[in-house]
Amino acid sequence: MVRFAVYVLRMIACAARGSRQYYLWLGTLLVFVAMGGVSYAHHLSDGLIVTNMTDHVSWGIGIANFVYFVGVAAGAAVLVVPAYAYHREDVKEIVLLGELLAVVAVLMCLLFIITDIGQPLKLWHLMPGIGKINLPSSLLAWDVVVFNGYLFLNLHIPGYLLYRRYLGEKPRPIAYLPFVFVSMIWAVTIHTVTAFLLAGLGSRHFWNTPILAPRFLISAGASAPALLILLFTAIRRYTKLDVKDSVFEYFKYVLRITMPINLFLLGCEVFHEFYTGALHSASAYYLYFGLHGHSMLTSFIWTAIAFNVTATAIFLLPKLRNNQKILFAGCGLTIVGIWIEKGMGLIFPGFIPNPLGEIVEYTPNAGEIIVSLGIVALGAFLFTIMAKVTIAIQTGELRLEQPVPTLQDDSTEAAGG
Amino acid sequence: MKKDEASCAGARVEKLVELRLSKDGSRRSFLKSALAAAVTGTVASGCDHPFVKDLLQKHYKELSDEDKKELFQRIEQRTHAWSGVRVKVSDPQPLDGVHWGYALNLNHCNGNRRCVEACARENNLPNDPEIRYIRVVEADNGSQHLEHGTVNYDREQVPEPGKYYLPVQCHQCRNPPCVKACPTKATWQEPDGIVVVDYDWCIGCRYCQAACPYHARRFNWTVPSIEPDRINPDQGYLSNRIRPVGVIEKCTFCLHRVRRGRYPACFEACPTGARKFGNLADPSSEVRQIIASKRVWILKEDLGTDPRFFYFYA
Amino acid sequence: MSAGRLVLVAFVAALACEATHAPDQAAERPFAPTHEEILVEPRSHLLPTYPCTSCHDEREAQPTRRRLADYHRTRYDDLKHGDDAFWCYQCHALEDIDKLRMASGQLISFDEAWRLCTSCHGDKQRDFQRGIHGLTIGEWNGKKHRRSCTGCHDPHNPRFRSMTPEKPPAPVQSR
Repeated sequence: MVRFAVYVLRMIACAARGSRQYYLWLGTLLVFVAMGGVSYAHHLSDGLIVTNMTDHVSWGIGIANFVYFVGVAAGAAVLVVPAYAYHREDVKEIVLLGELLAVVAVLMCLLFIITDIGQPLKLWHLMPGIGKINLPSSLLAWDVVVFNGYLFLNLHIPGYLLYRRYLGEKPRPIAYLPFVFVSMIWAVTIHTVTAFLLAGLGSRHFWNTPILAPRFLISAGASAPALLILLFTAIRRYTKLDVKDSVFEYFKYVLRITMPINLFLLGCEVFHEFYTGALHSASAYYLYFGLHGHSMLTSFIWTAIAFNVTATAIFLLPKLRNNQKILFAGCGLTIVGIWIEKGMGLIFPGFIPNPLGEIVEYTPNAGEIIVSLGIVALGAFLFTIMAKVTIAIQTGELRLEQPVPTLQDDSTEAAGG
Repeated sequence: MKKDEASCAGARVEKLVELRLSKDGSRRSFLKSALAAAVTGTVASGCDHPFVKDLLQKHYKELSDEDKKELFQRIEQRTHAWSGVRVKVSDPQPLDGVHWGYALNLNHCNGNRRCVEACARENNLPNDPEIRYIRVVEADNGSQHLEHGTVNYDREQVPEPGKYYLPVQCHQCRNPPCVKACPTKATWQEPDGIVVVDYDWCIGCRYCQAACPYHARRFNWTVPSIEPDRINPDQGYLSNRIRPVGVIEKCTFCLHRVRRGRYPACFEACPTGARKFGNLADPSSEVRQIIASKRVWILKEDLGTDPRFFYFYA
Repeated sequence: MSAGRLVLVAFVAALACEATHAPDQAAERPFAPTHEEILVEPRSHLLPTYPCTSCHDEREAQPTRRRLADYHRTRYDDLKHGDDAFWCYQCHALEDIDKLRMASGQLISFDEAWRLCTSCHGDKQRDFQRGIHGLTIGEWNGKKHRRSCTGCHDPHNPRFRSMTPEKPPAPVQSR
């Protein structure tokens, strides 16, 4: 017990120490977190009226970000599957970071929901036992279940493995492997449930499509590796963790599959909407071409399509993808492209026109964007400190045999992350 | 009263400190009991605080008669405190053998929106930001393409030639997508078919709003502001009581009226006789006779929501 | 409104009358009220110039059709009910100006005007009986009170008047 407490304290100490750059980075993030907090305080004190959401477009950028980061969380499977199912050693070395990214993404998702609801203090109504969770019929209730489950899995697996490594003991497979395999399926589940959450609504024709779940999974399989390429490049540059080139090759390989499929599925959707030409396609017309003089989202979706097509070309052509700068640009385009596709391209138009045919448009206002940025900054902050501790444990910097540093050690040894 | 208890708890902590300091008790157990005293003191004084009471409010279906009495009183007092209006919160129960149905004659509706305003008055709906349960779509004759219609028509006179009017409110579906969607069971269908919301249990996620095909649900984006002279003192706990911020509300066919034999407010306000209301379980009721003898249709029947709201021509 | 002011109409009688010309009556009978009494709101006390005899007592009734001057001129000029054959004594009773006259010659009170209306408008009568046409007032579960036909329709110009609607929904504001 004491040993574990010391471990926790040492992890905190490890996270708290770092270079100037590290502090600057964390400080910048905290500024955004604080701004988000202040903006959210407005939401709390005045009600969600301070947002641009209405009874017509009743979900906004918060839910759009939620859907996007579900994809990031599910994207951890891109690392988990090759590491544990196919025993790829190069991926295994970094898989814990992928799982922690999933943890952070899930936490962000939960925050996007909490900041979006009208009575956050009454969230206890969702707790099984004390509250009245509406299972099995509500997909939002299922989302709560699968999210907490995924959070537990992804906290347990790296938590257990890291502690064992810290102790210098070999992990017992029974203590984590079953969870690993459950988490592979669970990664699919969280994104599927989130897709069903939207696809299950008969009144929203734009979402009511069976390929929504496959689209979500594929776009997660595209946005996660793109993000991971950028993340691991940064980790390789700023930390002592060695990320092998083969890992990047693997990400590029995944992107070569997922990006074209993502475009293909989008094309299927577009065909279905426009060739039939039924009245149910109103949202699609609104999104792609504008409807009755309203076209706030058209520039966004065409930007997303342009970005995704360009990124696909980059990943498919060896000459382009093997040029690191162009590859990074491709990753950036993918991240932004898929983010737009899921937010402006999916959540918002689902509400426009409303079920009575009224067209009320929506764009997030500054307050909403700041809250979202705050949550993303908090996610980045958490990931940074968690990654720092993880890397310290993985590289052996932080382990049991090492004597507990005294205060003097602290000041001399301040050049970690 | 609150203050007394708080100071009482404070005194208890002080006494404990004295007692412990005089003895040679172990430091840890002293801290423990001091902490326990402080916590119980806070909880005891905190539980009476209306904020905490609201937070820990039970689900409607778990309220005992005693709970309800106390709760309704609290709501009445709160309304009186800010508005000076004495309201009566009640909880009329569904009637045996009654299933509500609504029918609306599109030949007669002329889009005058009297129903919209009467509903707002009856149900304590705020004006700023405006909440209205009924929306009247003005559409072109010969088309049910709702996008080509508008709810924002602003005319000197109605009906406009060449147009027809389609009022839409909660359809009290027998297969309600909103009830399925709610993650906390804060909305459900009563035995008489009315879909109600426990405004104190709703967490305000707005999933039901996304699920509703009739745009029937409204969210309280801020604390509803209602002028004291507009407050309807006859309030049902599950229907027209003044709602808190951040929760969903909706049409309940005025259940506080209909369960006592009266007609809904929109029905009474309609000057054209287009609105018909009654018991679907009674073959002689007007709604049943309409279904039996008129050409009745259902809005968005393809969605399988099976509404209790019918449109007809007569 | 006191019950005493309402004219009680036994529906059984109305049904019996209708049964003679409605061939599909048998099929519809289960839905017709059998024991319920439906009360139609009286209107004579609301009419500004009623009783008519307050003026017409001193005049000799002229049964010939002609354009009316003076007091009833606008009523006559604006008459938009039925074809040109319609004029005052189509409905008003020549022999007793405070009464209305059915096609059968039966004189009825102004409070029963709906009977006169429905003697031509049979389809509306059926719907009115069932509560499908017209305004129902009172309680859904208690005695059903009906507004009389003339409570909504001007018998001389029965087309439903256009109305000024309430204000449209407030525009959505962005912040």
